[in-house]
Amino acid sequence: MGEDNTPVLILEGIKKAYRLSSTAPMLQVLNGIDLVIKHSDAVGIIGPSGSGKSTFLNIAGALDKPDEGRVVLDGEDILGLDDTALARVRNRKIGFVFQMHHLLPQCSALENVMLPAIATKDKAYIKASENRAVELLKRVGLGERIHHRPYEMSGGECQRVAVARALINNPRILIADEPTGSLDQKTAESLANLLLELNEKDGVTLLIATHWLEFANRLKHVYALREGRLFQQK
Amino acid sequence: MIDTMRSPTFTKLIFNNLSFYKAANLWVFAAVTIAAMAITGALFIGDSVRFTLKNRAVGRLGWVGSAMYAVDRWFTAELGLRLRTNLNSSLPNAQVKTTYAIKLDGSVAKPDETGRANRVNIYGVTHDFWNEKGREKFDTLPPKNALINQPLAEHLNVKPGDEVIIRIKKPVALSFELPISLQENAYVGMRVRIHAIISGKEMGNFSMTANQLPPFNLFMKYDEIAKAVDKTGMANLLLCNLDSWAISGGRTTNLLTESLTPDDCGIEFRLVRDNLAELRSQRVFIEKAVCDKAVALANSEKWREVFDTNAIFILTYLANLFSRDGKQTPYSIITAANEPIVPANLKDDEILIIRWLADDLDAKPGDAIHVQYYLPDAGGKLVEATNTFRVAAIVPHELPWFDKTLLPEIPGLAKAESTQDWNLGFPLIHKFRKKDDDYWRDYRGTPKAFISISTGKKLWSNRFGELTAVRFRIKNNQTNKATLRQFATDLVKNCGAASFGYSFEPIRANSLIAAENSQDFGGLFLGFSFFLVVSALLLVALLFSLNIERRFREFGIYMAVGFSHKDVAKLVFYEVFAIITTGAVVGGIFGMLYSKLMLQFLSTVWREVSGGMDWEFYGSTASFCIGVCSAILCSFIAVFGTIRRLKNKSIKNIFQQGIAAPSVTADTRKSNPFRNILRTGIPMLLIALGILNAVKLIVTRQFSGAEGFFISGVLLLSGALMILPTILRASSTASLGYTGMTSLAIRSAARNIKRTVLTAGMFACGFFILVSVSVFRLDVGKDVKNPSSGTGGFDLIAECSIPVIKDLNTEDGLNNYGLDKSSVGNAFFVPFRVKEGDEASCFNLNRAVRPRLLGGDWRLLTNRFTFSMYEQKINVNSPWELLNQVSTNYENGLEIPVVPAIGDADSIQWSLGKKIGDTIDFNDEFGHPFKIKIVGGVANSVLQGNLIINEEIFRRLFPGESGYKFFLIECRHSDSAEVAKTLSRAFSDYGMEIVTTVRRLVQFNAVQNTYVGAFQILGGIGFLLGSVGIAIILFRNVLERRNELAVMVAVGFTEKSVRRLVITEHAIVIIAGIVIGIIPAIISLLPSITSESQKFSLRFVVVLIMASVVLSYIWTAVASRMALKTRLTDALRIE
Repeated sequence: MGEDNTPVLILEGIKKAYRLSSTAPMLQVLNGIDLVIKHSDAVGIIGPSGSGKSTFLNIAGALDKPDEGRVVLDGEDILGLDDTALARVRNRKIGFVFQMHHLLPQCSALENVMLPAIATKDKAYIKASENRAVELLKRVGLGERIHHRPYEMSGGECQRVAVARALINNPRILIADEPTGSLDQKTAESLANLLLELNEKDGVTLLIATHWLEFANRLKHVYALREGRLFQQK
Repeated sequence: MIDTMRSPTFTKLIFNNLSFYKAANLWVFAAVTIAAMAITGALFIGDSVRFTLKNRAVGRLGWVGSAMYAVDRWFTAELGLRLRTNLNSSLPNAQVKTTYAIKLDGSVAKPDETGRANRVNIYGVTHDFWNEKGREKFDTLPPKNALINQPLAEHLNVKPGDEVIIRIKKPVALSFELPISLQENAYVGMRVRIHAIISGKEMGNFSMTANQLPPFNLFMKYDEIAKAVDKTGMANLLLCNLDSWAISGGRTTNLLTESLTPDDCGIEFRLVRDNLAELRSQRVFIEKAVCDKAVALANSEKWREVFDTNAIFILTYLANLFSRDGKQTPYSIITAANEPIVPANLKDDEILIIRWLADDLDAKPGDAIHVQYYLPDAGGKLVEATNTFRVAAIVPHELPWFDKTLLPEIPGLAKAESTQDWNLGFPLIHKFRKKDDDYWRDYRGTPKAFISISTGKKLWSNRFGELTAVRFRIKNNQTNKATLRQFATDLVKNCGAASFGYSFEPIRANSLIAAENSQDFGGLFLGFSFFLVVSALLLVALLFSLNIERRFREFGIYMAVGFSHKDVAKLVFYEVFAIITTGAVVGGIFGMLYSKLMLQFLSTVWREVSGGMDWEFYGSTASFCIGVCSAILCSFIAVFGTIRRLKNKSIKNIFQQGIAAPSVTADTRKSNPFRNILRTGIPMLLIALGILNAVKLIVTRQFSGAEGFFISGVLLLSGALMILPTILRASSTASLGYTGMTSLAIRSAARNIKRTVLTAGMFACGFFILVSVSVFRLDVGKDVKNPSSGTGGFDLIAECSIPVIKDLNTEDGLNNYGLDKSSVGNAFFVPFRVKEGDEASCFNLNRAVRPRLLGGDWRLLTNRFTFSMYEQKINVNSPWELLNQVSTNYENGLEIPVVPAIGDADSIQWSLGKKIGDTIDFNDEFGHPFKIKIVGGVANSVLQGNLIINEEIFRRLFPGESGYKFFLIECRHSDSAEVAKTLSRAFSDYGMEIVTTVRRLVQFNAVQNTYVGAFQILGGIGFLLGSVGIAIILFRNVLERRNELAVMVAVGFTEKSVRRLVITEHAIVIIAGIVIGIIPAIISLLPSITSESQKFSLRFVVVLIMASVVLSYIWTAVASRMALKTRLTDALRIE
């Protein structure tokens, strides 16, 4: 899963603004953010609601583009890539976990986990990924639920499947936007433990946005997003 | 079920998605099915109409491929056999079949006169006429029995065993139009029993014209008909199984000529007396072409050894009166001739008289004698002329003058034993004296006077011929009958079949062409089903869009895990491809049911369009493929926008939007005062223009100009729809004051202005089109007596089976039929000669290949009817004058006359498929080609079905069509019903049918009005189907606003009141749409509303409004219930 100390993700001078209506002023959500995430780092981004955490993570996860700045993932500036290349980056190098699990209800847990593999359209790769998917599901404690549909699982279990999905293609970084936000306390703790375990034991690089301070404090680095800037807390 | 043994793939994902979303996909599938059903069904209807017409054409004709119908010329029954032999020798593989028959026009009535059928085809046929099926009934036909076809049986309400009376006009050699012909009323009446009714499959509906409605046919054995009309051994109809490719061209025409004998052509070359032979015709007058050929033949190498090359030309006529100085000699024969009968130096104004006449008139050489006679070709009118001649000499009672053989075999004259037996087509007003009777008894038709042949031709040659005999002196006593017969045979060969009016028409090919090019019912029903198809496609678009938007988050996940935009779009494309393709194929299959239903309607509810015919279903593979592919293509176009939007959206937007997207899209454009003025100003201007135009038309009472009101309606509709956004915007930002549910609903409706305007606009436009299309319903109009109206100011139309010869605008003419001016209320008649052909009106769905021609005096039509189009290159006072403008084309070295014609504009465009300047190929009676050129079209008139040409030209082209069979009648001083009754009674033997012009127009208009009605009904169904779209929009609106509606519940609104709010909000939109549509529609229909004939269907409008409101309420209620199924407050928890 990558080399030691190598920057996995570099964000430089990231700026992003929105205008909500023709008469409203521009709202500068991100006002020049610099961040370097190295391999096996576990970085947390905290901030109040509306501070721009999701915006920042979307940019980091190649789901959105900044107005200014650079995003270098694994040594490659991804902002200049076309749609197909960007999709490949998201497929191979990034794993994203959202607040809602967003599992496909028409697919089983196994199929949901294998979704990124299906995106490669490489039949051999897909076939080979099946075993890895089973392993990942076991890893997240859902070895018995391989063929279950999302509606047959609890919210927490679905979120675990989402985590497994994010890892199927051995991404360079796993980005999670409020992964515990829609879970109850116990389930949230369980998921948090899983993510930390993946980082500590498997060396998965993490970038997590959360407003759950206890969880954030367990991460190696914590930054607060305030007034469009990052302030290192830890 | 997921196949656990196989790895999931892209394809499996597609199938998973299709299965998972099957409920939603089913709606899209259903909408595609409806669209495909309507499109394919319409095409199948077109196939079915063509198929049925073709089958009818082929069934009608049986084995017959071509026909030679000589009308008033008679050939021997053996001609068919000779032709068959010659054709079989020349075309050994063809297995030629021919049969002869007699075809006459007549009428059939029940003995008690409770039923009568005019314009009946009376056939005298042999066993060979029939196909196998028909032969069975015919072979068992007893004497004095007849077979009739189904339409005739139904019209008369008779069955086998019943008796009927047939009246047939007796064919005569000399046209009734010639004064020296017989009395007009020479009929044959027969009382026969109906032996059986013969069906279409048994050739009972045999007809040589391409009309979809079968004619009235009656069949008897040939021998009986032939005997009844004194034509035993003769026929005027020859049928052949060969199709046009074999018949047309020189080869078979030559064989026809080869097969002809002098008896077939009615010519005779006989010995008059020693060494003098004479060419004569049974038709009395010999055509110029035949005379010229005879002279040329006599001068040929073969025959100049036999005949003296100096032919003697003879033209014998009847003089009403010779007079001089008060002395008169009535009704005498006069001959024009050349030498030796009349010396070459006899001047044009000189005359030779016999001694008898000289004594009777006390005339001597140098005296002036007046000769009174009727003009031979005055169109049935008795027009007397007088010429004065100076007696050049008195000739003795010796040859060559005193020769009774100079009188041709004039029927009614030549065989009369005494002057009392004379039977001519005019009353004998001069009294015969005893000496006249004695003269006739002793000398029969020996001429009493002689003039030069050139003068005679000027006075008495006519369209039937220019001579009554051509004589040749025979050299060297070569007087045997065989030689004379050979000369006659050679003459026939030299003249050719066409010279005698004999040519074959490829009736099967013509019928198939007519059927193949029939009214495009496929296109018509595509038009009728327009709303149905558009509504279905709209539903496809809306449902698909809704389905996609509900899956935006899913698509976001695909992209988040590495599917590119293209991949996602491909996924969606394959899913929708599967749905659309299967839906289209299933719809195509349902199209069969749809078309069968429509065909049933065409035979019943919409019978005016098709004359109540039963249609056979036929759907071609090509139509199925075109229909299915069109539905697939249109459906893809409908969903293209959504797929494209998906492809162009950023991932972030895809995640954020979808169902929970804010309803109001932020208007990020800067506010522009100029744009605001335009937004308000332009629609206000349009509304003002619409109102002003309508007011102007109302004030000036221009209710006949439907287009003006329609334009007003369009302006109002456009303006109202354009101003709606401004009104909505204003209502969404204005202070509400006291807030009730209704004002809340209005505010809600204004949230998504685009969607609201689209919904209201859909209702408004649909409503407007469906209601205002009534303006195209045709109305007879108020002022039917106006000469410029569609009736031409005429009250009645009369059509006869048997032509009327005399001028009905004269007292004498009327007297001939037992009428006078007072009995017909001083009615004014415009008569037309008729050359039968294909019905070129909206009653005939076949393409009229050879339309019916009417020959009339255009001067009687000046200022009648209104021209909607005419050739404007030529400067004339009245477009009717264009009928005089004959021109000539040159094709393949031949001079082709181009004859101008005027018809009904709609007939020209739709039945003939022609426009001004276009031509139609015809052949005249002698087989010579000519062209009819369309030079004018009158609007919405009773002239539908016919083309009018100049009567003079008609007579030259079709001399055999004597008399008038079509009349436009203006009843000036009396009730048209009374006049109709009087005329029907007087002309019952002529098979006259009379209908009012108003009724005829109503019948024509009923066809177009049925089309409009069909459009409105099918369109209405489509429109109502489109109202399902409102439910989809509501569903979407509610799902987008679940959170805010949940908040309303949270603060104290009941779920029921929330539902009511949602329904009210959408009801406002629907009502706004209906109001915006209905007001302009009513304005556009003001001419119809104010029309006395009430063509405007208020019932339709009321039903449409009520159905729209009720259905829309049902859809909104159902959709709101579905959308608000789960507890609203659950949505808050997710938030």
